Amino acid sequence: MIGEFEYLILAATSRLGDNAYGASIRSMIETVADRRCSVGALYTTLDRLEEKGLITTQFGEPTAERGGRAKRMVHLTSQGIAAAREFYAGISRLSVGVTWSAPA
Amino acid sequence: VERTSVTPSSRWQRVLTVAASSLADNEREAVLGDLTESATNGATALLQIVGLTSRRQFARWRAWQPWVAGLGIAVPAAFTTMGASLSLSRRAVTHNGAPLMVLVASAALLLAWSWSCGRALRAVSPRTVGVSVVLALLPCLFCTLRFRDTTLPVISLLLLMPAFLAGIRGAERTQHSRTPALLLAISITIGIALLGVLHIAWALPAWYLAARARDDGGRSRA
Repeated sequence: MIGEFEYLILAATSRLGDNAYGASIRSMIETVADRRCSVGALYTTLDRLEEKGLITTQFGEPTAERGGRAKRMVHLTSQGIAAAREFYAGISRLSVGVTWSAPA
Repeated sequence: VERTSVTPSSRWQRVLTVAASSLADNEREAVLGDLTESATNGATALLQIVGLTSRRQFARWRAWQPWVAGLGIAVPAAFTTMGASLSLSRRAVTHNGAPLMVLVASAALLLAWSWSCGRALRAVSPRTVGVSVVLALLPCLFCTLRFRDTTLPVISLLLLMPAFLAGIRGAERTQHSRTPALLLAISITIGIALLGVLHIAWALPAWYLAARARDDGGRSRA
């Protein structure tokens, strides 16, 4: 079972495809999900996801736009896709019939 | 996702590089690159890096190795260093019937022992040596300032602690070739037994190094 922040990273990684790396994942979580995402939280969670076998990461070639520094590229594994799908399905099932009306 | 690239000033780059120095090389490059690419300003980037390094440090201290290195080796070795320094310096001043050769051999033994402690500390927990160094220096500095005994800094701070730190900060490798490691352990054990300047248990760091030594000449594993 994964947590909410782990799901956000997996979802952002899936949307970004081959362009998924630290800065792009962080930017997507902050702009699309409107959630704060610190570098510390992101990188420690990436480590955890990699330990669980849900993603793989590799360090790419340095690029000029990053001051000549390499990217940590992120790729989903089949287990990662399954875990994200399971999390989403669980949230969806639980949300059926929920109106989110304020208590009287 | 739109992004702009802004390069922080060279001064901030230096500050950020120093702040990220405890990270692994690849991770440091990736993090600094991410912050450059996302146009994060210097102060915010520094906070982000400090946040990551703090999380990394806390994660390391969940294991037993940093505690053994810090509280099991660094602190006891610091107190033992001070005691042995005090004893040796008093014997040197008063001579107390001890031949010069014995004093020289005792000093050499303490130097080798200090180095072996530093080396063992690094081998046990290479990622937390900074904290271990602080833990080793604190009792020494505290006693020097508290008791104002000038014999402590002369030998302990100027001779044995540098040997201790040299063991920590020396070559990157944490494994040594078997023969030198065994010779060191045997020499320290015999020296302690003959000279009696330390408890025999303090031969353990040298034996720990010998136990994890390799047959192939101690190639780097760091």
